[in-house]
Amino acid sequence: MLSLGIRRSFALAFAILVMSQAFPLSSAQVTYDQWREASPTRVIIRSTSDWGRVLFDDLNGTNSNGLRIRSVVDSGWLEGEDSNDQLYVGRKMSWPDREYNSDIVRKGDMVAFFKGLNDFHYTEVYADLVLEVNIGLPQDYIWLMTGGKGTTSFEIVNRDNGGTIWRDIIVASGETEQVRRVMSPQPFLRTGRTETNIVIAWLLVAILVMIILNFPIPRAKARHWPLVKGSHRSQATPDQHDRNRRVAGSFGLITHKP
Amino acid sequence: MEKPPMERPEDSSKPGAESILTESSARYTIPRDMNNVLSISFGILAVVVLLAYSVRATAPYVVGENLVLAEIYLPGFYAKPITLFTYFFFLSYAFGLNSQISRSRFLRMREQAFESVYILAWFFVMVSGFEVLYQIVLWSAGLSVQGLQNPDIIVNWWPANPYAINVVFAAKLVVLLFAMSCFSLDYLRRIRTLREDASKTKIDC
Repeated sequence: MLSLGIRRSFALAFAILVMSQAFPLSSAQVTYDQWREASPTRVIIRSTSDWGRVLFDDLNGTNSNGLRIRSVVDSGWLEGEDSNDQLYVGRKMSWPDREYNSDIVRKGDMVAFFKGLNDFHYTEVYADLVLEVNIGLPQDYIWLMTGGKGTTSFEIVNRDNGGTIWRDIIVASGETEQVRRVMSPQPFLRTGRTETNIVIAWLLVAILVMIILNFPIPRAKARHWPLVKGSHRSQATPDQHDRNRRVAGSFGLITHKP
Repeated sequence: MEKPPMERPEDSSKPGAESILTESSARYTIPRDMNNVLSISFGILAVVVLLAYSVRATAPYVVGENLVLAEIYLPGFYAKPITLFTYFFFLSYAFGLNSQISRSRFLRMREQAFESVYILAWFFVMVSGFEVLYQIVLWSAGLSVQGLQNPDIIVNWWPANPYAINVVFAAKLVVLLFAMSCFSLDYLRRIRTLREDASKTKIDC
């Protein structure tokens, strides 16, 4: 039977657990409007499609997605620019959509290119942006859009350290594609190094396993002293001593001397 | 001034016991068993691979990405650092368990502790078994949505990870854990047979 103190501790722990579930103190209660300026980012689009678009907005242009463009620093073509190619980078820009069989015009923050229909030559565009991130949301999202044929890769890079914050590839299937991509707001705010705890944990596990499996632990070593120390022999009966020695010998732990 | 020779703490009239002690101590500190040598060698290789490709000038925003996107050229084929790590670590673990030191440790273990380790091994099989399925399904779904372009850049943001985890990295690690758990189960069963044989011999004596 457990002692009274232990039972009280269990009861207290249980009560705290129940209360914490009933009245959570987590960040879920924070307000949803907590916009922070993100580290400088560069959006790179590499594509063989005739058009492509990244929408840092929701479909209604209200930025409920948790990401929005604050300002555009620079934009342009890195490769494959033709005279009729167009690039659209900015806030609340118009873009055409189709809803219930009717054409409508939406507005949103975007980076988009248009090469002209049926123009599938390889192009590479970039846009240096200052983004704002809503850290009140557990996850943010963007819309990726492309059409016709071809493959388009979207990449968001931190301009300070060159690290890839996010990337994805869309393969067009002959029709207009609109796909939503979810991401965490944290990487947009980070500038320094965050080495993963998982890698460090595995490193420690590898070292520990190597030591534990290949070297005797001191306690195990101490257990064998009575087998060989003359001063301790008297504590075991001759029968016990012989048995200990036989068992140890069978495991290859001591060398039998004639 | 000349120091007097230190007295030996042990009774010098027992040369046999002393030599056994010395030899036994040496055996403990310097592993000479081939299994130990292989285990330590593979373990060091695993640690080196992990260290060399984790620490990079450009910090990754995706957990494990550095270990997946890099390719190491080996004669005849290329391998990812995470692949080499899983191979080396499994070999280190398996050879280490098969060594004399580990065997004797498990043979001497108390029954209750031994059974607990056995249950723990099954627990890890269950946990890692589900994770293997989860990662593979996620990987397949991600590839399908992406259009089968690049399997190495599929990431997992869910449920609300601050940083995404590369699915190849995660899948390799959980498969490693699953393989280690299965190997441990088989190993413990073999040890259990030895323990039962030993207890029968003791009764016979």
